[in-house]
Amino acid sequence: MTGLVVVAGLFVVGLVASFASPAVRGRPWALAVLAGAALLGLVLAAPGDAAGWWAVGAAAVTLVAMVGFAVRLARRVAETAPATSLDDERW
Amino acid sequence: MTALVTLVALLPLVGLVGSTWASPRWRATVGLGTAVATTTAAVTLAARVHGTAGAGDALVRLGGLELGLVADGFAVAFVLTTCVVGLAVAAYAAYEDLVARWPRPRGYWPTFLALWACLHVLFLAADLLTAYLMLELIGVAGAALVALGGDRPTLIAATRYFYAELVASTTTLAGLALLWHRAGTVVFADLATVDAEGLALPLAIVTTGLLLKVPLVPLHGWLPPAHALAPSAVSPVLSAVVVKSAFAVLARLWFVGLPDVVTSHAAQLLGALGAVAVVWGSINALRDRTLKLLVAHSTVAQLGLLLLVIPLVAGGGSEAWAGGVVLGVSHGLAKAAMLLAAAILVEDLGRSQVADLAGAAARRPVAVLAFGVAAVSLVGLPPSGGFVAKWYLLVASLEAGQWWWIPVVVLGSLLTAGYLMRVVKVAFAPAPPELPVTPARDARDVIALVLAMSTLLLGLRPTELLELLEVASPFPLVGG
Repeated sequence: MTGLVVVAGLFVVGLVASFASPAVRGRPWALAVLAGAALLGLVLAAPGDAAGWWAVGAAAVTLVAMVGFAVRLARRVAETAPATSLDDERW
Repeated sequence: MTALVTLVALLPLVGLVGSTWASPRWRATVGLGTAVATTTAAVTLAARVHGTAGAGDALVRLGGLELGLVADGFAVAFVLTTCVVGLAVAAYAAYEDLVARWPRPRGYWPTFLALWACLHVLFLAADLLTAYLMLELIGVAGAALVALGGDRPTLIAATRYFYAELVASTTTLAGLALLWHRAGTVVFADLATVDAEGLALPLAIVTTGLLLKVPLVPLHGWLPPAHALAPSAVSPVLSAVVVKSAFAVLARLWFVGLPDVVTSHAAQLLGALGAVAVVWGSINALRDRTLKLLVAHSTVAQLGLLLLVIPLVAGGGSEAWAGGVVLGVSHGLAKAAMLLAAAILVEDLGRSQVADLAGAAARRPVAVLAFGVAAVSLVGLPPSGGFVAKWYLLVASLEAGQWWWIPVVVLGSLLTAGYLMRVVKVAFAPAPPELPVTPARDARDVIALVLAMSTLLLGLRPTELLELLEVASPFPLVGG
């Protein structure tokens, strides 16, 4: 139950931060919190056998790749943008 | 059949490796060759599933990770759609690479083939975890392909698309974890056998994540700019197939995995959101001045129509299941053809505004014909696949006693006719004096037309697809 509350709390924080973050550059890190919460949830839920750990590992690898790609995209946007307008990029 | 299922799922990965290591001269050849081989394998699988009336299955092991695959009628229908669209787009891109010799970013072919492989594995996925992993990879590959456009507006569109994908993925994963914890399994077939108590919350969380991926109004803001600004050999795949991936997972989870958890209120809510999407997307398409943005907003509207299937199937309308898949397939073919034709027109005229398309029919008659035929299917006029799909939805509405979806389907068709005929009308207007009107065409026009004509073929011969859908269908047989 404690695990569930922690996961839910982290998830809400990540979600709020993801939508509230004004800058393209800052949002990947809010999304990383969100991804971490979801992954922690999977760790707690997955069966403790080898198949469960492989599933957790696969999800972790794809999530890390996604967050990494988000950071890279944000950097590419920053490279093409005048610095003053970056904070105005909202979705 | 196991080997064939595995081959269909993983063949694009062979092309991915090949196109990664090939020299620029050979990259398109490897990509097109892979597209032909994959499509051949998928057609063979479809013929085998149709012929034996039995689903195939396979287990792909990556280390200790087991990806369960099942090739039932539903999965094979979407795999075939992916292949037809993928083959057309590959031929279109290969023409530009090999004949026109236009420069293409190095990452296009490997990423395109990776996306193709992930789509196949997703449609064939026998469990939610496999489907989830593929949704993540599809998000990465899709955004990477959009970002190949390279300019600032396109990069921003790709970034927004990817942020939405990441929020959707993590939401889906959170729901998946809770579902796994409470049900003890995430295999679709096994979920149907567990006690439904306590599974409503995880289903709601997973559904929210998937709706963001579909995307459904009001979670759709990322789609129009991403699809409109994506390169011309990317947006057809995104609009035709990628948007169906989350819908396919949603349909499997709701009606194969957890049918006892689904309530009629929840299904009606999704239908209502779908109806809002039909109106909202169509109104935006009516107001759009840019051709590709108009087609992208049309995708939002058509996805809303697809969501109407949910309350109709939940209400016992088995025709809705068939209508939903035929709608998914026909929309995929028509939308891909339309986007290819739109890209040709924009490139040929050097203008992207709808109002500036005057003379297009005189300059690129085949591309305009492709656009018009695709429009016939999207509107739902006979003899197109869109007509068959909407007919089934209307019948399902009556049979399920849910008459209130009928005006939505009819209004959606009228609005679709309104915004698409606006394009056709301008295209047939006399060209401005400064624009030469020598008719021209190349292989890409023919590719778009063949793809558009396939929607007519689907409308004239829907029997084979409907018979395929009956293989391992969760719903009773439908009348041919």
